[in-house]
Formats: sequence, C-alpha cells, structure tokens
Amino acid sequence: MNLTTNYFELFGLPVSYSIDRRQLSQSYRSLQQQFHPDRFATAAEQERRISLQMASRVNEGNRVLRDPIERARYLLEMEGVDLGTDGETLRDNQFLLEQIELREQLEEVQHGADPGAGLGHFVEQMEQRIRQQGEQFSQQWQESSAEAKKTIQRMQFFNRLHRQAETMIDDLI
Amino acid sequence: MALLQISEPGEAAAPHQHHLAAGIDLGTTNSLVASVRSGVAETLQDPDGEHILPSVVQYHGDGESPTVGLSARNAAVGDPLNTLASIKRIMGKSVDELKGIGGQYPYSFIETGSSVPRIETAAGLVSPIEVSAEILRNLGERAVETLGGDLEGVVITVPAYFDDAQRQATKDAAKLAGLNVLRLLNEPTAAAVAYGLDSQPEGIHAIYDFGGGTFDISILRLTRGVFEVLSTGGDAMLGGDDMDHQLVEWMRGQIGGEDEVSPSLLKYLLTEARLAKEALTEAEAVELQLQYGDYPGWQGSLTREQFNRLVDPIVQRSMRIVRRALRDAGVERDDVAEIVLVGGSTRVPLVRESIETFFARPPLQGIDPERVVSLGAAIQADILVGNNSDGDLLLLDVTPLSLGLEIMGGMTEVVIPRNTTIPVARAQEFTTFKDGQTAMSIQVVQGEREMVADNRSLARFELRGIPPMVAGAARIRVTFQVDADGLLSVAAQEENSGVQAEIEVRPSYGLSDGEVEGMLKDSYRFAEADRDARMLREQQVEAERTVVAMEAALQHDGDELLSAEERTQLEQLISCLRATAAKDDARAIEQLIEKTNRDSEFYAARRMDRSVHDALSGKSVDEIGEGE
Repeated sequence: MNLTTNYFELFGLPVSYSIDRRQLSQSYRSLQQQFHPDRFATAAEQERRISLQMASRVNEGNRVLRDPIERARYLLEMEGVDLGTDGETLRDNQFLLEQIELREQLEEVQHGADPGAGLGHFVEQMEQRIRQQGEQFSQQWQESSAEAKKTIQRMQFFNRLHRQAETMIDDLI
Repeated sequence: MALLQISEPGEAAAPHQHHLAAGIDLGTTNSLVASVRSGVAETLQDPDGEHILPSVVQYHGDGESPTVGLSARNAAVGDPLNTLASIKRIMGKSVDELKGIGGQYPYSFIETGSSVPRIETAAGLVSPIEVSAEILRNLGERAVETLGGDLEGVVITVPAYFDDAQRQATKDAAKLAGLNVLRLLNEPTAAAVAYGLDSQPEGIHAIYDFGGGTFDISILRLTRGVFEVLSTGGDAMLGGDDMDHQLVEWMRGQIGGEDEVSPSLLKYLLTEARLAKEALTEAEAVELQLQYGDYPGWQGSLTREQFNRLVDPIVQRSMRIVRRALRDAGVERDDVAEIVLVGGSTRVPLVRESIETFFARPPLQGIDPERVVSLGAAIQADILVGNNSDGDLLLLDVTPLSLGLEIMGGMTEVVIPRNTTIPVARAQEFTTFKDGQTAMSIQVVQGEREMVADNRSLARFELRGIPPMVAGAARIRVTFQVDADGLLSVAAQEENSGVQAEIEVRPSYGLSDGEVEGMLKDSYRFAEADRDARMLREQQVEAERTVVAMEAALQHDGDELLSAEERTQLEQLISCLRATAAKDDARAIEQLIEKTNRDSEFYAARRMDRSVHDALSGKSVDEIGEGE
C-alpha cells in the first residue's frame, strides 16, 4: 500500500507551516468516514487490516498536523533534517538565562498566593511563546534548517514548561 | 461503505438482507442484551419476562450445567462459595492484585501457575473469564431464540477505563461463549449513542457512568455525524459495590462482635446493604433488622443523611475524576451541553445532587440508566453489520491509559499518551547500550506513572538476533498498534538488518492462546464435530467475503487499475478459491484465502490510493461508496 504519501497530501493540504484547521478537520472526518474499521466490521480480513492501517495513519496525521511542534518537526523531517532526540540542548546563552528565569517563575507561581490563577496564566504565556516561535519557524524553515531546528528546540522547551504547569494544576485538583 | 466492495451507483446491489446482531452490556451486577428490531432498539427478555440478568453464576457438582442469573443470585447466601458474583471487577486481574481486593470476595482463589487466577467451585476450578463466558452465553442464546436465527455478531460494552488485560479478558470470554465480537464499545460512548445525541446539532457532552463496580467519565464532541471522544477518565475499581461495602462496615460496627465474618454472613450483610441503599433512593430513612443464624443481631434505623455521609468520599472521588477529564479534553464545565447519567449507582440521590451542583444544570433523564448502555450497543451493532443504510454515524474513541516501554533506570517512556484517538500506530526507536549486544528485552506497560514498577506490566518480550554492532549502532524500531477495540499489539524490528520480532500483548495477566484453546476444547457444549463444522463454516464465510469483494472490485475498476495479465491472474485466484470453498477442507480454504490476500495486496493498495484522492476531491463518500 502506498502509505508513503506525506500527511499534507493525505489531507489535501499544501505543504506549509500555517495550515487551514477547518480544511484539516473536514478532510479528517471524510477520510475516517471512509476508512474507519467500523466500516469494515464484517468485511474480509484483508479489508479489515487495510482499514486499520489507513485509519491509524489518518489519526496520526491529524495529530501531527494539528500540533504546532509536531508539525514543525514533520516539515523538517520531510526535508531530510535529523532532529535528534527531544532532550537535545541548545547552546545559546541568552536562551539559557531565559530558561532559568522561567523555571524560577514557575516555582514562584506554584508556591504563590493563588497558584490556580497563577499557573493558568503561566500556561497561557507558554502557549503564546510557542505561537511566536511558530511564526518565526514559518518564516525560516525553507531558508535555514539549522535556525529552524533551534526554533523547534525553543518550542519544545516552552512546551515542557507548559506540561509541567498543567501537571501542577492537576495536582491542585 | 466499502473499500473493495464497491458497486456503481444505480447498479443492482445485493438484495437487501437483514443481518442479526445484538448489543450486550456485560455489567458487574447486572447484564442485558438488546437488539434493533424494526428500527427500534429494545432490550430482550427471557421466557419469564425478565430483561435484566443478574451477573451471577452458580456452579454445581456432578457435571450439571451452571445456573446463571436470578436463581443463582437467590442461591448466593446458601451457597456462597459456588455462587460467583461481581466477577467483572476481577477480570484481567492477576493473582497478586487479587490479594488486595480478594478479601471482599468470599471465594477461594487458587494459584495455578497460570497468570489468570482460578476460583475453586463444586464444578472444579474456573477462571473469571469462564464465569463471564457463562453470562455471555446465556444472553447470546436469549438473543438467538428471540431474534430467530444465528447472530452475525455482537457488540460488547466495556468500561472506557478498562485496560488492555481487561479488554482482552472480555474478548476471550466472548470467544468461549461462541460469540463473534464485532466491536468492544466503551460504555459511556454506547450511552451517548442510545440518547441519540448524534441527532442533535454540534455540541460537547459529558457521560457520567457509575455502575456497580466501575466508574467512567467521557467527554465527547459531536460534529456532523462524527462522535469524537475528547477524553475519558475513570476508576475500574470504584462503584456502587464500594457503597455496599461501606455500609457493611457500618453495619458490623453496629452489631459489634468478632472481627472475622463468615462468607455467608458477609453475603447476608451485602444483600441487606444493597437493599437499604436502594430503599434510600426514595425513602428518607429505612428500618433495619439484621439477624442471621446464631450471630448477634441488630435493629435500628439508617437515615439518608447518615448514608450520604458514609458514601460521600466515594462520590467525591468520582467528581475529582470528572474534573481531570474536563481538563484533558480542554473544555470548561460551562461548555458541556448535556450530561448523561448511566449505571444503577446514579440512582443514588447524592450522586445526582453532586452532578447538578457541579455542572449547574440537571442531567438528561428519560432512558433507564440500567438499559441505556445495552441499547447503544445494539444500535452500534446494527450499524456495524450494515443494517442501517443511513448509518453514517461514526464513533472515534480514545485510549484511556498511556502505553509505554521500560527504559533505563526503571523509568517509563510513553509511546502513546492517554486520550489518543484509536486506532493508532506509533513507533519509537531504541538502541543497544553494549558492544555486540544481540538481544534486547522490552517491557510494555500501561499507566500514568513515571516509574515502571508503579504501572501495569502488559508484557515482556525479547528481540533476538540483532546483528552484533558497537553500542548505539543498532536501530530498533518498536511499533505499538492499538486497534478499534482498544487492544494493543507490538512489533519490533532492527532497522539495519530487518530482524523482526512480533508479539501479541497478553502474557502478563491474560490467558495464553493455548489456554483459550484448551478451554474451548474442554467446554462440553462444543462436541468435536460441532467445533470442526463451526471452523469450516467460518472459513467458508471468509472465503465468500473475499470472493465477493474481489469480484466487485474487478468489475468496478479492474480494467483501469490492472494490466490484462494482472487481471487474469486475480480471476484465476478467485475461481480457485471458490472451488476450494465448496469443499470441506477448512485448512485448505484458510491457506488459499491467505494466498489470495497476499497476491492481491498490490491491487488493494492502488484502490486505496485512488479512494483517498476521491474522498478529498469533493466527491461524497456515498458516490464512491456503495451507491444506493
């Protein structure tokens, strides 16, 4: 089966960092309507297997294209850039300082007077930073994959803090 | 909707045939079977007019068949060791895990070396899977008798929060009962279907499912006929039974006396507790008269307020899980349009009050909360066998628990996070850490904790034959596939050499394939001849499906997508398969189906690519689907 077509092609979208979310949702629904294993519950074994593979791929593509960081990584991977592992650090002193400051800030908020509101605000802040980096990525990925890779690493850092803050909110509950 | 089974619009379709299918709610306390008849889903009754089948099985000596249902439940006090109830709570549990909860059960659990515990009964050792199979068999037979024919398949509901071992155990039970499982459906999703929320405009809904033994919450979003589960949460060990046990503790405090209670006294108190709980749904207070045998008795009253205080921690625990599910779904409580209540425990007034306070609106009522799940399952079964011509309702469910692998230091590396839409396949790459390392052990776990030891081990498997390389040079790709039933299979491959190891995840807590086969053989209901006939029939049906699908495909686009030579080859395969299927060699048919599938794979791929393009190029699914 030719499952090698890229996710953009699968969903009928142009290869680009900025995507039309409505188009993505629409394509997602029509592809699942057609390929989901529920449509093949009594079909021949081969059809069931193909449908499982296809529906899995559609779900995975939907997840990757919807997520700002995964989408960026995917674009670079399509270009053949090796992104290494998630934890790779960035050698950028200014960013290093910023990281330390943000970590301290998160800790202060967590032990502050109103952790619920503070953490909520922190989460929003991180989402905004990820968006900003995303805009930058969208400008640079076709020009310089090295710079684009650094941008992804920044996004991943903000995302880790985002997740930590969310876990802290969960613990408040 | 079909992929290979495509016919041109206007072309004569196969004569409309009504397929028999049923939905089964296999509950902790009670079970039901339902089916869609003349377009309406209804629960099916037994000859005595009872719809609800108590999930209780009584085993007898002397080769007598076990009793299932009401009469078994009535026998519980007199024959506590042979009368098995609330078995759903120990489905998929290991012997060790039972040590924590086994005390609530009066049965004798026996360790046999199998990873599945056995219970000692008058009829010998039985596993929880076999007990569930008795309940399923009873309901399956009821459906066959009521509907007047063999079932093409059933949809069986499971708590959304059931893990892989519990789902696999349920599927194994169905297999033992001789039922073809079309799908394992999550209970909350089934309830949403039953309420016809899909006929509403778009919206977000919460399904609060508090049953006898399990608690589930699901947040769903509906968009144009597609039901997407956004998040699900729950506790497979939290239910109305816990309220009963809380009440029993209280009763024992009132009675005073010994710390140890006999199994039959425990059964007696549990029954009294359940009756008191049910009475307090309407009444503000109940009078209790506890007297059993020679034990000291107690007489007094229990008010609803007292009862509420006893069970409040249980209800509050469920509300904490609701909050987390909302967070996981990324929605606020005000976004929720409708709240659906499922399960007998939602009859408890405190539960309703807590929900109404939390969401600031009353939950939906109308369908009996004890029947709603089986009705939804029946509707889904009807769609899956293809009876519902306008059934473009599609359910997209999620994994309830994160799936991961053990990495160095006993840490869990999550491969598929919880609340990922299924089916899903995801790969992760690993490498060797020693020079010349040729084997690697991989442990698969399910759960949310950082340390492997705190999660549930699903399986441990080994990848052997890695070509010796320096440390870090091997690239081992481990692929997790979760199917639409929420069941996991794992494959691992070394990328440089192509060495492959594939396993099905079941060893840690489930029955091995051998054990399942053994139980099937032992089952005296399947005489050998029956079994062979059944296997032959299954292969013939599969062959017929393959032939029909291939012929329809060839007729539709064989000329376009195949060369003349390719087409001739496929046509030869089809006639060969048809001839073989007419004879009675099940094994030969099976082999030929496999060959046909292999040899036509390339054609299926071409058709798949084309239908992706068609799906996106604005053609409606129906135009490229069966066509009316």
